[in-house]
Parts: sequence; structure tokens; C-alpha cells
Amino acid sequence: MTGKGRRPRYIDEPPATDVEVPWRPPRIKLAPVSRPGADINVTPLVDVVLVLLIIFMVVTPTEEEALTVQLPKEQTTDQQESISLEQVLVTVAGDRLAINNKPVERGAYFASLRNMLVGREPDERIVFIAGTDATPYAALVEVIDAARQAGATSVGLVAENTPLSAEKEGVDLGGSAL
Amino acid sequence: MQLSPNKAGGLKADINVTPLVDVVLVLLIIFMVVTPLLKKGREVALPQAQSGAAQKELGQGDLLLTVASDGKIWLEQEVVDEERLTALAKERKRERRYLEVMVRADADVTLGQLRPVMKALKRADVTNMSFAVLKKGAP
Repeated sequence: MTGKGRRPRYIDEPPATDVEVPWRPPRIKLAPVSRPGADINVTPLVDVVLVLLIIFMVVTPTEEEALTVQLPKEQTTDQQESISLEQVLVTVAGDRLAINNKPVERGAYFASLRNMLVGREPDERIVFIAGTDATPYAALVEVIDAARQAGATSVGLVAENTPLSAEKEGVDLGGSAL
Repeated sequence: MQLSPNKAGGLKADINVTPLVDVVLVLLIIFMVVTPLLKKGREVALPQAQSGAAQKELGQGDLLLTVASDGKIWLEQEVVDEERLTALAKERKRERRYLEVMVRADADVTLGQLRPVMKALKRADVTNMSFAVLKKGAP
């Protein structure tokens, strides 16, 4: 077998043809024309939303609220001397409490205040709160809080230093304990 | 062989802006959230209460006072005394009919340290003030 130019055929090689295949330009595959809104990449969105979630998770536990009090005008100094039936004056001196100058136990304060306020018109449920300089602010907030829960619609805070009436007679206020 | 930047694979490749936009957006949101918190003034340990109502939004000219545990009274970033506070409250009261006053006092102060605030507000004819409290039960 001289067979010029002939080489052994491989098994899966198609038989050689003499038909000439016309030349075609190579096909260039174009990317599909992008239509608007075809696919949105949600990864950045999820990213931002997650960060927001974390920020609010951190911020929310320190939720603050407000206790609003009135600052009544000058009549408060006379009130102590002549307390009419309608007025409720709570005096806080350190950890001692008095309603209309009658001392009350801390545990009985809420109940007796509610007894005084129950049956009143909502706009008559006014409680004035006065205190000594040595009273801790936390105790004052506690008293305001309890008064509001006892039904007080308006809480007036007396701006002046107001000792308990018994202590006007020179009894020491016990401010050193604070 | 010439180095022409406009040929394929040259120096003018596209910059992927997506991560940049991403980071900038997150920064924007962080500052949006943090800025109102910064305006709330100095850090104090507020007392707790159950009967608090939602805080009203403080507008321009409203007073946000902070009484620190050492008894110093801060108006935003400035320490004020009773006279200065009276003058300021009077001035702001002149500009607007109703003045919202929020007092953020540390639970450790005494009523005596709060007295200047109350007296100053009273002298300026402010009839209402609010104490900031933490909702009881929150950590």
C-alpha cells in the first residue's frame, strides 16, 4: 500500500467528502438584550436590611418615656397652711411620705391615694407633690409614678423646698443619711 | 507593539460600583439612626417608671435638659445655672407660646439638685415639664 496522502482512518472519523463547504464567518454569540428589570441583584438589599435590623435591635431596648408634671403657680405655699378637701398634697422627705401632712407608710401610700381619688371627676384628680431638698430623685419619680397609677390625671410639682409639717418645728430632716 | 489603553483588556476596565453604593448606603442609614440619639444629650442613668407616656418629639427651640449625677445641669452641650436657664427659657418662651421641656435627670440626684430647674422654669412661666424615664421592665 503506497497510498500517497492516504492515512489510516480513525474509527469515528466521518468519511472524507469532496463536497466543498462554503466559508461562513464565525458565529459571534451575543449576550441576550437586557430588558429592564430582568433580574435585580437582591444581595445589597438584603445586606442593608440586615444592618437596619441589627441597628434597631440595639437601639430599641433603651426605650424612653416621659412623666409630665405641672409646675403650679404661687398658691402652693398657702396650700400647705389651708388644704381644702379637694386638694391632695403628697410630701416626700427622704423615704418618708405624708398625704395632706398625715404620715403614711410607703406600702399604704398607693391604696390611700387611690381611695382619695376614686369617685372624683377626671379633671379633679389632681395630686400635688412636694419634697425636701434631700429627697432622692428616684423616690420622687416613684411617688409620681404611683400617683399616676392611682388615677391622678394631673400631677403638680411644688418647686419650693417643702418639709413635712412635723419637721417644721426643728426636727432634723435626716439628710445626712443620703 | 504599542500600549493603547483603549484596546480590549486595557486600563479602562469598568469599576464595579455596587459595593461602593452598598457601603455608602449603610453609612447613610447608620448616621440617620445615630444622629437623633446624639441629640439626646449626655448619658445618664434614668429612673424607671411604669406610667410613662410616649415622649413628644422635641422641636427647634424646645428645651432638653440633662441633670448629671454630679448635679450639673446641661442644656444640650452647655452647663447652665439657674439664672442662665431662666433667661434662656424666658427668651424661648417669647418666641413661641408653648415650650416643651424635657428633663433627663440621673436617678442619683436629689430633689435639691433639681430645684434650680424647677425654679427657673417657673420664673419663666413654663407650666409643664416632663421627666424622662425608662419603661419599667426594660433592661
